Amino acid sequence: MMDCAEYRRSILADPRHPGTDMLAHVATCADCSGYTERLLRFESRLDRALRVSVEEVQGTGVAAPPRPGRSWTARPRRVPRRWLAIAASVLVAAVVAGSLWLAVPRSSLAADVASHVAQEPQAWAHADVPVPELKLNQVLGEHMRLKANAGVVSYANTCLFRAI
Amino acid sequence: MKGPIGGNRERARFQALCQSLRPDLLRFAFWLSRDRDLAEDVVQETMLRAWKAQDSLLDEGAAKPWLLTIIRREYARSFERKRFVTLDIEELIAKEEPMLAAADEQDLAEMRAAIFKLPDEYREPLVLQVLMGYSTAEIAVELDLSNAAVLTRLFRARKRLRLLCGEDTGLDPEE
Repeated sequence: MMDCAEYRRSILADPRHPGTDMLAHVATCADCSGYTERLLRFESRLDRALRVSVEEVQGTGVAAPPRPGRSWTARPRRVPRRWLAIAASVLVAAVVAGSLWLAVPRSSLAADVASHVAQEPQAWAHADVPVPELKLNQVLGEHMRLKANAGVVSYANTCLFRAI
Repeated sequence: MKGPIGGNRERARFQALCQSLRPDLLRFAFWLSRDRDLAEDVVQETMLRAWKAQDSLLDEGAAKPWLLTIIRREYARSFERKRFVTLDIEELIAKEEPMLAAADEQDLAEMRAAIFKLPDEYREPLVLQVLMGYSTAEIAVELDLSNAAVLTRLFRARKRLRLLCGEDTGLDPEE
């Protein structure tokens, strides 16, 4: 005949499948009967605790309110690493392309000058009268000098283009 | 279906079978790893391996233990890939707190935290028995243990769990 210690060791190992000798013991032992009842309640709680929902495991379930004194937020869905790598590559490519676009002039300096001068008709007028030296020096400023064989300069003016 | 899995129809059935078992597999992987991210990765890899090796499954009725075995192997492989891994239970609990606290009842949340604290050798057979409905003999085969060793581990698992949950353990037997 099984004793109480042996019964409780067996029922703790497998509460759902008691053998015939275990059933025989618990039928005649009030202490073990009460013990089994409490254990089965515990077992039910264990079963429910283990049966987490798939949504909970995947972090998409409805979160319960935080316990007093604690705070947490529901775990956001993970973004696969390969998508992060692709996103980073696209961003780098966009920055490089943008930098190149800004760095490269849309037209040549010569074309800009010709286009600008076309808007000043007096610049195209034929004249043999040279621009006064003082005026020419003001236009050239401190950093530019004409070559000695540059010829007669009949028109000089300061213009702003390309925001300079 | 009893017989080798092959052909398009059988493959479609196999896929449906895997999908129907996926929730249980995910739960098992979670309690095995105590990490939702890792559990998802392990199940994903398991499905991939199962799909490639589906012809080796001769009996659809054996699919669940077959997949659980693959999950255990994949979980073990995850440790081979990440060497020098040390587990801090309190960190694990903190990381998975939303999961643990998701239970409607406070005592379920405490129970989940207590399950987290169980050593692997106690937690795994307990999960196989309670969650997966494995018999002692089936657990013994899966974990390559004797029946007596499985019963001892299950006894110790519940005893420790009851202690962690603040149950009255005055009448619990000594070993």
